[in-house]
Amino acid sequence: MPDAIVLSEFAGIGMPDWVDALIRLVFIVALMTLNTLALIYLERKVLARFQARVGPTRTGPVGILQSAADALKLLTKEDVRPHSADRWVFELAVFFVFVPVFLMFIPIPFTETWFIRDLELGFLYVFAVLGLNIVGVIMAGWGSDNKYALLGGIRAAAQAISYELPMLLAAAGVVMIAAGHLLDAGLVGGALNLNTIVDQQRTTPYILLQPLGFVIFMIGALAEMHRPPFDMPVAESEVVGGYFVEYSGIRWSMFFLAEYTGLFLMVMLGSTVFLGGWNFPFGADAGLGWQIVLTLAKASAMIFVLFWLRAMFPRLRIDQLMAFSWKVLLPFALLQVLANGIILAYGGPDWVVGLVSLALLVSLVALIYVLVRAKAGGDSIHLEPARPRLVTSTEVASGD
Amino acid sequence: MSDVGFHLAFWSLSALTIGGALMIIVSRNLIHAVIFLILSFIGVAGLFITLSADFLALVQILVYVGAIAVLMLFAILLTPRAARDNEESLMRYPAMILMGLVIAAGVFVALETDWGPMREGAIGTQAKIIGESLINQYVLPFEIGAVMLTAALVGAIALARQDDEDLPIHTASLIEEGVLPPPDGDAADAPAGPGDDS
Amino acid sequence: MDVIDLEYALIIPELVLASFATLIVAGALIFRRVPQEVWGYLSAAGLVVLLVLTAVFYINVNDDFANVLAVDNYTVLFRVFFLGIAAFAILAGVQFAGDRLRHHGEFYGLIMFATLGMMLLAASRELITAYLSLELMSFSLYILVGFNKLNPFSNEGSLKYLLLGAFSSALFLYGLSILYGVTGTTTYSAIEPDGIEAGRNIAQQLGNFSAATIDSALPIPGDVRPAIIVALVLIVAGLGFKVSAVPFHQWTPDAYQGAPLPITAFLSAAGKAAAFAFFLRLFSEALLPAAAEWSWLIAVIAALTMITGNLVALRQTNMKRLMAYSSIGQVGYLLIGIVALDAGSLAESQDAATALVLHLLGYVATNVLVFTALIAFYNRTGKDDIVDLRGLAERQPMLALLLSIALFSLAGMPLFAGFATKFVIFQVAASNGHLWLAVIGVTVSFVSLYYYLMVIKQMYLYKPEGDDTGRFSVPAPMMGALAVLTGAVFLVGLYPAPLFKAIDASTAMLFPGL
Repeated sequence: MPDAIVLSEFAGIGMPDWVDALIRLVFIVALMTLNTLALIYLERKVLARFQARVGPTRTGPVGILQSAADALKLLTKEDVRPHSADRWVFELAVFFVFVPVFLMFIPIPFTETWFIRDLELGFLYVFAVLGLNIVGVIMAGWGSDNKYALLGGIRAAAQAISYELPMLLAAAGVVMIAAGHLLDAGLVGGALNLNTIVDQQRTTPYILLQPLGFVIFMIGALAEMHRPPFDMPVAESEVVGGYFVEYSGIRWSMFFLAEYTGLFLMVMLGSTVFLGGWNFPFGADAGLGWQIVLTLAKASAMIFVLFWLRAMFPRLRIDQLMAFSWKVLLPFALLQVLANGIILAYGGPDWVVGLVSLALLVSLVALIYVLVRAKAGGDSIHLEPARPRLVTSTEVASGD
Repeated sequence: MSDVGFHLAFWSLSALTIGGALMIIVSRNLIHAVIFLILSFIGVAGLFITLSADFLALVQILVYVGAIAVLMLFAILLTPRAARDNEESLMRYPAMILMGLVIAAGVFVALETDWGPMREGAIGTQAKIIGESLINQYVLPFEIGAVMLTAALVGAIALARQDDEDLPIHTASLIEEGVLPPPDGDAADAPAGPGDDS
Repeated sequence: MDVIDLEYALIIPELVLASFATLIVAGALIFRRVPQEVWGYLSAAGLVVLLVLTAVFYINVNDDFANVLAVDNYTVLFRVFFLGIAAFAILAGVQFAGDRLRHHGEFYGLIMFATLGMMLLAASRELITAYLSLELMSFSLYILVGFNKLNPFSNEGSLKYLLLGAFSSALFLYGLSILYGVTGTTTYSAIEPDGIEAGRNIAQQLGNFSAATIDSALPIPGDVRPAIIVALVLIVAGLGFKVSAVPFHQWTPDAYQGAPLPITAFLSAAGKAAAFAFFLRLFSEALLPAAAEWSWLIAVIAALTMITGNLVALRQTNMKRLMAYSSIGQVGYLLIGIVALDAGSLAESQDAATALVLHLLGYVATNVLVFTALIAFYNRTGKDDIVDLRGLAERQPMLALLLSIALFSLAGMPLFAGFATKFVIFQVAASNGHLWLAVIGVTVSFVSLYYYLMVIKQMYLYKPEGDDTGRFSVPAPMMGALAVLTGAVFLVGLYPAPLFKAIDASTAMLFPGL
């Protein structure tokens, strides 16, 4: 694999590695700001078409400047902090949400040579940093001193840690297959390296070998990024906007920036790991232009699917959401890992892996269908909210 | 790796770790303490990276920050009155002196000892080595860990689960233990439990 | 990578126990209509079958699993022992659990998970395995102590046990990590299985260090003595919590009092025995070359434990708390056995190990007898203060007699197990050069006689009081368990030679250089 293009070669000046990496990261940040503006505009347009409306039209030609106008408005708004908020937690929460999202871009390969750093454990790294995000969300919820913000923060965190497990297991399934391929090629290790994973998908993208993994990954990504139908943490009708209800102006827009950037990151990761990134179907010879077009096309297609899902599904209830992760997705993800392990240990060919995963996916869909039917038929399935418990036994015991 | 960068990383990460740890003790607000704990964890993860133990660093962040610290935040947020300050304690100064001595002893030992295995240099790809150990010589400890987590999970659910039949039994057993007064009796002479300070 | 040939045949008892425990938990969850006694008797029967098979198939195997688990006579002795204790605890607890507890499948399953941890703990010869086994045992016990979840005392005891247990585990783990940092290995001692790099283990490294300190002609790589001392202090403190030695004993009375009675029995018998089985293997197989560094430390703790445990027991009014302090006193006697490992020759060290295990087995059998009798009493009355035992001799003469036998044995009266085993341990202490510990031990034994007699006085010299003074009967399975245990107490007291020989053969495995 060729090395990354070093910026100093372009500029003709020498600089240490870390300065080089820093410049790339800043470049990503700038790009992502524009990306966010574009995504918001597109989401409004796409949703409008689904709902037989036209969406923004007034600002600029076909409303294309709408996002820019919104951004300007947000930047000039007053930055309000509630009097009773915990000052440091309130203000730092933004950064705990914002910074990890950008740190996650470090190992993502846009093309064969365009990435910030080639990390040996890149895949694991992305998930590790994803966990940092949760802390920021809880800080925002608690620091606002607002009960809706707190509820939203707790919901977001509960949701994020619940869906991280199936996602990690889906990733583990892919890594197992990549490790198998690498072993066949006489290499050992490197299966957690995102570049290597893309390299392995020259002819067969992993979505064909792990359709169940892909579906679980996408559902997990929706939940991690609080996208509908998993947007309970920010649901206006339930928690009046969730953990950032008290934020305004520039801080609020940073939350939004983090959210859309996270969305883009997740689809980039999905297109890299499951759809073959720049490598499928034209390979490394296709040149830089084709590679970047392929990557972005795959990412855009996935984003379109996510917008579509938003238009299609109503919001879940929080206990349904948790039950879905722990009782449905997690067992299926574990089954997937187990099946992969057994097939690979006995040297089964790729198509067996793919077929078994597809069979699991079909049974997952069938199970969901049965559950929903049972619900619609009025049969009681165990998705009722738990009985509230406000009094603990020790409080009863001490008699107050 | 440039020498300056390494020293810069080491000292700033050490400052983050130790400063975070100190602030945990000094902070009187539990939420703040957990946030400092998270900073300290991140610092430790960074130090692992400077020791070229990158797998360990990522697992540290994934497990300690992503799971344990979040669990602690949850526990604090869901416990009534838990965000209150720590109380004053007379044992503060003896404890401070004791911990000072412990830290001094630890530093002395760490500096004076000849740590033989340290000289053997960094290991290459740890994910591979750890993975191979876990299915080879250390397969048994790995399985014991799995059984331990199963037992803990089963037990936690058994303890935390509230059954519909529990409440009457609960009241009955509390009356039997003398914690609650009998239905017609007086509460005044109910004996206090061992943990009841009042 | 060197692929080791993993001989799973060696750990079949553990594998079977783990599967059996899981099946019991799952079975009780799925077949809710089956009465809970069935699960209890099924578990006990399964444990007994496993015990017999283990005893038949694993004697004199003398092998190891991937160099992390030794399968020798010592392991087999403790496998059989823990399976037996667990069977007794379950048998004694079936009625109790039915009356007062919920989630019976989990209850029996967790007892078996704890037993699994104990069996692995006694067998492990590698630090990580030992630590994880210890945690498996401790986690199961934390939960079991709090299993009477509607009782605030149970919650309190469980929480104290959990917090102090977690703290002690952290200390212990830190000690182990320092030990690893100094020696560069986690394996106890030298055995050469196929495919493992031989020759690097804790005992050998420590032996090199101490040889270099004594004979300065040897090249000493650097000063490691402070680190070894800190590691030993941390390890002893961590293990001290687990065996509840003074000054790490504060959790014991609360946990014992709060726990459901069968669990108190299990905790005080098997929990302690497992910690000592591990203590003995670690300190004889791995740490013996550094004996000069730790023997004084454990000697001080042993003396403190004997004195404090027995003196504080004098003031107790609750039977469970009395037994807690009594067990702390017994831990002091047992620690003498560890101290006595520091002797002139390996043969003398082995004598100390044998004495320790003998006293451990005798004490545990007696203790289980006491608690089984108390459970029989508690099932009828629901009370556990000493004064509640008033007039037991009139209400249930057999129970009073057996309880008295057990208490006399704990006090170390001749005829019973306590005398023979204590005699051996004090004798070893004296002959290995720790006479002062033996003197303290004998003295506090007389003190202990006083509080045991106070209980017997309540049973025999007073009339029954309160509303419930009638005679009552003990169910047959309970009576059978009591009879077997009493037989064991008399057998060890009157004719210990066969047991002594069996233990001697098993402790010989701990001293590979012998």
